[in-house]
Amino acid sequence: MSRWDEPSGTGTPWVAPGLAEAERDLNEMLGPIDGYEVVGWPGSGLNDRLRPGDLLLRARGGFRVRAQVAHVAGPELHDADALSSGDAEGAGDGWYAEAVWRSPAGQGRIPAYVRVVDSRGRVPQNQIVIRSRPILPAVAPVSLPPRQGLDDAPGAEEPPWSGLGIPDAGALDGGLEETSPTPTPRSWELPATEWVNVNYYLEWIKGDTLEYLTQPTRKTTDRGLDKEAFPGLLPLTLIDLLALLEIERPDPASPADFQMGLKTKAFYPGTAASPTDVAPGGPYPVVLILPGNHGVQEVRQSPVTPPATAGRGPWKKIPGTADGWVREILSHAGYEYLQEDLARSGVVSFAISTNPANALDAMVQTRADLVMAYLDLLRRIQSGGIASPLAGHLDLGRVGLLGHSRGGDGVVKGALDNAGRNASSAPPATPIQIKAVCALAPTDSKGTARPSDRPVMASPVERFLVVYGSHDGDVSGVGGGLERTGTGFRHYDRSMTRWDTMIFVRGVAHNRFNTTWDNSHSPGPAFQHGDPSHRLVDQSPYPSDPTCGVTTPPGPPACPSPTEYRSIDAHKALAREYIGGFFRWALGGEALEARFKGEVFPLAAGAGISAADVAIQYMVPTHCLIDGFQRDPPGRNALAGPASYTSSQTVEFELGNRPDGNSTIPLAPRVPHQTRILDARPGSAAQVVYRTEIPAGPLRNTRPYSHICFRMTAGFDVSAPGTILSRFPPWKLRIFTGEGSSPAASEAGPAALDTRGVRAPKPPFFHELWVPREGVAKSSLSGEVVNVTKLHFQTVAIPLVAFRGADLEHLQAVELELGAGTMPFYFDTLCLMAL
Amino acid sequence: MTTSDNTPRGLEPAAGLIARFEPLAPGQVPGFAMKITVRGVQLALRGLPLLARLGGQELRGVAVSPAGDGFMGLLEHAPHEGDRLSFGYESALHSTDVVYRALVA
Repeated sequence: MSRWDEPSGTGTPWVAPGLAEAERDLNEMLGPIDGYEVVGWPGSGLNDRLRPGDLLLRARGGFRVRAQVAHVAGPELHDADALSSGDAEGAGDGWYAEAVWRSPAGQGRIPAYVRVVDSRGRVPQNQIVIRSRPILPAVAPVSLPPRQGLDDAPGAEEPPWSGLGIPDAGALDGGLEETSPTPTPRSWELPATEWVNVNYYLEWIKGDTLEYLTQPTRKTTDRGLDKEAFPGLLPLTLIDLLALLEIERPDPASPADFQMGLKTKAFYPGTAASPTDVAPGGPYPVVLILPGNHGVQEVRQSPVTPPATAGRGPWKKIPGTADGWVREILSHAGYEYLQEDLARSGVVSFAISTNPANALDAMVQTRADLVMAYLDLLRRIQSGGIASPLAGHLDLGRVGLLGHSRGGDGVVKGALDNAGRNASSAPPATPIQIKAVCALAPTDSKGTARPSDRPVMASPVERFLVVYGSHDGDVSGVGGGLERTGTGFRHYDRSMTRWDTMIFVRGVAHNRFNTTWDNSHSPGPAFQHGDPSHRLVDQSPYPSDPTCGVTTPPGPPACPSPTEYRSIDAHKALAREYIGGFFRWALGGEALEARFKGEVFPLAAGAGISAADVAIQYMVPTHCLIDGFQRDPPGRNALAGPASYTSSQTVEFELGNRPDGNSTIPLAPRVPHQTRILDARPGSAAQVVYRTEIPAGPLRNTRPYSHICFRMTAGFDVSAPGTILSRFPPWKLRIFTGEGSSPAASEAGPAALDTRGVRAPKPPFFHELWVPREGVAKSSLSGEVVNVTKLHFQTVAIPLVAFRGADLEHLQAVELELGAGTMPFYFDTLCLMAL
Repeated sequence: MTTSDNTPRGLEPAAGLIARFEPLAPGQVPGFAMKITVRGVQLALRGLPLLARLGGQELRGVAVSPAGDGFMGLLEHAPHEGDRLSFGYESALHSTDVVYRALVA
């Protein structure tokens, strides 16, 4: 509809005062609103309890009437009298909901309490409350030419949402006018190093058992800090060097023990008027940012000029030398672009130094213990125990963790340790609730341990995001999902939070998210992949990408334009929109969920990364898992219904755990996953390869859901870019519905996939990596090219309305049919979701 | 103490690769018989952990020095004469010329 009709059913078009103009604005910004239902009409009461994500539209008067949009963040209504004057908008008596105003620029989104109804429970005349409809209506089919790479049946049916005028969710993911001024990002740095006693762990997996070595005495020899071990070029012992840089030091109270130094820099929503004031509207959610493993010191043996350098500490004279200087590399300073963006959006972030762990090459547990130490530091900042402008402005009930590389492993373990501490018999007086965790290009160093030793991201963490690039040359996934150290794919495969998402992005590397790690050791900006500690990978003179046209060492390649690598700016844009957006959504209440179920692609055109570059996996809160292929008990799906395989070539296996039988394409090194799946082999003719039954009862009702989803990939030949087919093997999903013993069949194929946003399945992203022959030497020009192209799973979704004539309240069975062909089809996580 | 200093042929740069094998007293590091310290390499500091083996025995708790010029690790069992050191960041480790030789009194 183009107007909001009066709900009484009189049929008379009715427009509330001021809403006609607002409607025009809204149509520009949201598109026609046919995809919504009205929860609260102007002048009427709410006809349903509010839900997060509901939209409150308001016409604001003045010289020109403009629309304002707020996204409801919480279902509760609060009496104006119960809210402090700083919390609620000054709109008078009534009932207020926690919401977030939206702005066109995608900035300045400040949570607030917004007046929803007046004191008598009526929606004010200048506003309306609407809700996105979860299930798309059916539409008559329209013939379209097949889409490249996906349509295997020419003339297949048109996706059922096309032509309906349903708003592109991207419009919802943009933003409208704001009412609060955009905060000015302000920073605060811990004025002096805080010294804490944190254990140092050596960790390894023996067989399948996770083992630690930690010494209670923390003696130097227990920690690898022997004076004789690494004399290097300096007249310093290692511990003297680390003490000089305030990374480690002997414990003044017990000199045989050692302490680790905490350093952090925060960015917070401030005001333009004051360099220190915190913007009104708090307390604000908090994010801790952990960098990954990296060098900690930079040494010069010649006179240095001491200008401050971003990402570096001050030069310090090395005692006993004429011209020896050293300064600290501040890896945690490399995310300020993201921190500033978060601050503008009402999120306080603390980038924390993990150099004490980096200096000792620690793996996960030391980093997790550092997370706990920094959480304690947050408590002291909040209580005023450490002088800062942030005292009292932190919402420790809404905390998120972001970890990069080994920091990704560290935040997963840190979140679990924090939950364990909260649930212990002696919980902290001020519990900190970690609600959201993001692992950026993470290592997974525990995935090959026995299942009970593997860290699993789960409740009370509510949302988990993994971001990983196809051109990650450090945590590259060489060897596949069964290697000792895995990638973010394994973290995602194990995760069980209420909402899990992973994006795998073509052309994205490892280091470019951290500006401290990027510098100019290469011919030009296009080559800025990392600093000397990381230029082993992904950087000239190492010809790591075949697009360079050089794959044969030795010698520097003639590679003026490694086009597959996305620019530093593209990496930053990706981090802002997906990682920053993740925390603004998960902690700040912004209605950005569409991007975390693939429905929209949030980066602007020209950002250097397109929707075609993003492969996504997700599981949303409202879902019903039909079959995860775990086979517990045997022969049964996740709902305890029978599951059978009607093709002799169809087997189940833990992906990556067996050869695929094709000697030319060994499967295990190609697969980054660690999960049991269906491995379906096509034959010379179309055949049903899998069928599973839904037990009788309420589970057969699909009405709470909008889509039937599964994860898929295929056995592509990835030996060269040209061998990767653009098409997946042809398939059909057939459902059987009805109340009787003879259910009706209806089917849908690739043409029915919901391909909005980034949901279209992507073939593998080709990548070869340059590995020096010794595997370690930074300056080596001899080595080999290793193909690290991955067969990645992605979630695909078919709207249930695409199954024509189906009785969606009585789903009895699901079948998978493969067309004739030769490429194996890998299938997993068959489920229903409300998208 | 048993010491073996070797000059590698295959490593770059062609600096001396030195390995020190330090027997551990019983209980000094519970469960371990020997500590190995290697110097003379140039290691990139990466997200991936360094892996190392001496003969057929994997080194546990491998830690790279902050300068990337060496690493240390622990052995559960005393090595055998002639066991060769290999290490690398991916599972296909690269062999070195460092070989364990017990001192003969």
